[in-house]
Amino acid sequence: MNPFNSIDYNLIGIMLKSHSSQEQTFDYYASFLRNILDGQENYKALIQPVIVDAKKLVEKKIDYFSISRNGFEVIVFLAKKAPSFFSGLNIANVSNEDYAYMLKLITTPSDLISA
Amino acid sequence: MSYTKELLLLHLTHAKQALERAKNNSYSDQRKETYQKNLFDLFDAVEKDALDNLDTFKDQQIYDGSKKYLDFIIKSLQFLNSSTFNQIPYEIVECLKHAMDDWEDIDKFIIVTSLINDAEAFSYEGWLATDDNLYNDIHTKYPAINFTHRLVQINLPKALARDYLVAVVLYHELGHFVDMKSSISESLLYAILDGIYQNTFSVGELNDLKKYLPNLTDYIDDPDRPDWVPMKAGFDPSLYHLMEYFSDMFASQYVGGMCDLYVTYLCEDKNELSDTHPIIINRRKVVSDFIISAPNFIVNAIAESVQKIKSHPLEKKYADVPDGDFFNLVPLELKTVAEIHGVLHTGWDIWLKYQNVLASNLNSKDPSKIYSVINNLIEKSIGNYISISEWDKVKGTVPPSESDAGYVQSNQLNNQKNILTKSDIRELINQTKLFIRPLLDLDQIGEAGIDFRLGYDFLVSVQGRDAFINASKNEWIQGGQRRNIKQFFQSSRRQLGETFILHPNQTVLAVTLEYIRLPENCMMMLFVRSSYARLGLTISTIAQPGYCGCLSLEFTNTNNNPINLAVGARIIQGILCPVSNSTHYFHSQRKYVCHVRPEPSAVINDNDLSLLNNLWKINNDRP
Repeated sequence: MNPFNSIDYNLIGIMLKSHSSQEQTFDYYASFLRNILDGQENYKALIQPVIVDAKKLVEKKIDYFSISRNGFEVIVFLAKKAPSFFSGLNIANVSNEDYAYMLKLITTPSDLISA
Repeated sequence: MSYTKELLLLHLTHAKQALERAKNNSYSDQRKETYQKNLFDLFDAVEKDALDNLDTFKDQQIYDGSKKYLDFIIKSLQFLNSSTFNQIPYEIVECLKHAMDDWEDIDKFIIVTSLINDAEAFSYEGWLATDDNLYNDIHTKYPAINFTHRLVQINLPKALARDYLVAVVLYHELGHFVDMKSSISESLLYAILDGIYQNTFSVGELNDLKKYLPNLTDYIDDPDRPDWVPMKAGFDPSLYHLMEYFSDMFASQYVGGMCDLYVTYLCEDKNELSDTHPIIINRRKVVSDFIISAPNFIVNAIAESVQKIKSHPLEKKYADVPDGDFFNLVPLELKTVAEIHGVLHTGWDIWLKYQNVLASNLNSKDPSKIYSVINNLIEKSIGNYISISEWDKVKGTVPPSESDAGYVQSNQLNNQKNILTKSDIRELINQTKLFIRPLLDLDQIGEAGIDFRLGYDFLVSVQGRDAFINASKNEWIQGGQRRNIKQFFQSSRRQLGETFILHPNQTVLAVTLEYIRLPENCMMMLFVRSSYARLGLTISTIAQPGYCGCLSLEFTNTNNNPINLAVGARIIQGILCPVSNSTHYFHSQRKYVCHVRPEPSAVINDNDLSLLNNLWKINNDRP
C-alpha cells in the first residue's frame, strides 16, 4: 500500500527503474507500526530513527540532503503531512496513540504532496 | 480456512519449489552461497510460523508474517538463478562492480543479473538493495538470520548478455541503484519544490526548470500556487525525469556519451513528453553539458546534490585508451580501473569511426564479423585485466617448480633448426610481431617454446536426441534434418584457480587463457606438456601464420579416470616454427577469427563437403 498511490509499479519498458521499492518502504513501516501496536516492542527501534529525523526536518535542524537515506520517503512524507504533530512530539516518550496516528498517516492514500 | 490462507499455502509451495530448484546452483562466490543459505533458513522459519499460526492469521498478518518474506525469497532466487558463473556476464559485471565501488561499500553488495527474453529489457530493480528495512525486519523477527549483503538487481536482454557495446546502458541502470540508495533525485526534487514555493529561484532558473521538468510548469506559473503539488501530474513525473537525468550523467562518467547515443537510437529520437522519461533532446543536452562542463541549471543542481549527499563529485572516471592494438586485432593491455571503463568507449569509437580500418585488416566488410571482433577484443581486454589482477594476488607466494619445458612430447618435429628459441620469441614480442596477452609470467617462454595456460571457458560435449553429429553435407541419412553442431555442446565457465573435471573419453573444447597473434611468417604447433600427457590428456592443434585469437584446445581424456584440471595451469606448450614465405592470414576465408571463447567445429563450412555431397547425389541419382 503506497500513500503516494501513484504509478504502475512494474517495469515499464526500457530503463525505467522499478518503483516497487518506494511502495515496499511504506509497507514495511506500516508493518513495523502494526507490530508495535500488537505489543512487539523490539520494532520500536526500527521506527525511532524515522521519528527523530521527521521531527528534526520539521524543526529545520536538518534538510533533505542530510536526513537518513534509510526510510527517506517516509521521513519526508510524515514531516510534510503532520508538521505540528512532530514538532510537538516527545521523541523520548512516544505513545501507542502516536504510533497509531503515524500508521494512519502512511496508510491513507493521497494524491497530494506538500511543497 | 479462508481463501487467502489457501493462497498463502500456494505461495509457500512456490517458494519451496524455487528453493529446491536453486539448491544445486554453483556460484563461485561464497557471498552468494551464504545469501542463498540464509534464504533457506528464512523459508524454514516463515513456513513454521505460517503453519503453526495459519488458523489464527488475519489477512494483514498474512502479509506481515509471511507473504513479504516469501516475495523476497522468490525475487532473490530469480536473480541468483541467473547469476551462476555459467550465466552471469562476468566481464561487464566486473566493470560495474568497479563503478559501484566509487559510490557504495562494495563489500555490502552483490551485483546479480537476470537475463530476460526481451531485446530491450534493460532495467534496475531496486527493492532488494535499496531498502535496509526489509533486512532489519527479518533480523528483528528472526535474530539468527542476518543478511550481510544486498543484491543489486540488473536486468538485461538474454540475447545481448555478451554485447559489450550495448553494455554501456548497464552503467545507467547502476546509476538508478546509486540514486535510489541515497535518494539523490528525491532530495533534489523536494528542495526544488520548496524553492518554487518560497520564490527563491530567478526567472532564468524557473525557465530552466520548466524546460527540464515540464510537469512542474503549471505549478511554477500559478501565481496563487498552493503549498501542495499533485502527485501523479507533478511530483512523480518530475522525480522520474530527474532520475533519468542523474543516471544519464552517472553513466557518462564511465562511458562518455555512448550510453546516451545508444539510448537515443533505441528511443528513435522521440521527443514526446512522457511521464516516465524526459524528452530525448533534454537528455542529450544534459549529458553533453555535463561532459563539457557547460553551464546548465539542472546539471549543476544534480551535481551539487550528489556532492552534498555522497561527498563525492560526479566527474569523468574513465581513461582514454589508445585503440592501436585493436587494429592489430589483439586485446588492449589495460593497467587501471579507469581503463577498463575506457575500453568500452574505445570499442564504440572504433565501431562508429573506424569500421573501414578493421574491415581492411580483416579483409572482410561483413559488419557482423567486425562487430564480433570488437566485442571479443573488448571482452578479452577486460578479462585479461581481471586475470592479471587475480594472478598478482598470488604471484610469488610459492617457489617456482622444476620445469619440464625443455621436453616436448612429440616425434613430429623433424627439423630442430626451424624451431624458434627463447631469444627469438622475446625479440618477436619486443618488435610487436608476436602478441601474447596476458603473459602472466615471463618464464612461460621456455628455451624452445611457450607454455600456455588453460582458459576459463569450456564447451562440453553432451548427448542429445540426435543419433550422431553430422560432419557431412549429406542430409538424406537424417531425412533432411540437420542440427547445429553447437547443440551437441554445452558451455561452462570457471574462475581462474577453479578446476574442471575432464571425464574419460569426453571431448571438451577449451581455449588458452592467452590471446595470441602470430607473425605472418610463423606457425605454431601445440602439444600437451608431458606432465599432462602422462595423465592421458591429448590435444591436436596447430595455428596458422598470422593467427589471432585464443588458441583452441580440443581435449580428450584417454585415461580411464577423470582428470581434474586447474584453470590457469600451464597445460599446453606451443612451438613456433618459421615458414618459408610470409602470408596474410586474412587473405583466405577464415572460420575462426579473433575468438576468445571455444567455438564448436565449423567443419560444415568446408567447400569440400559440398563437392563430396554433390558427388554422392550424382552417383545416387538424388536431386
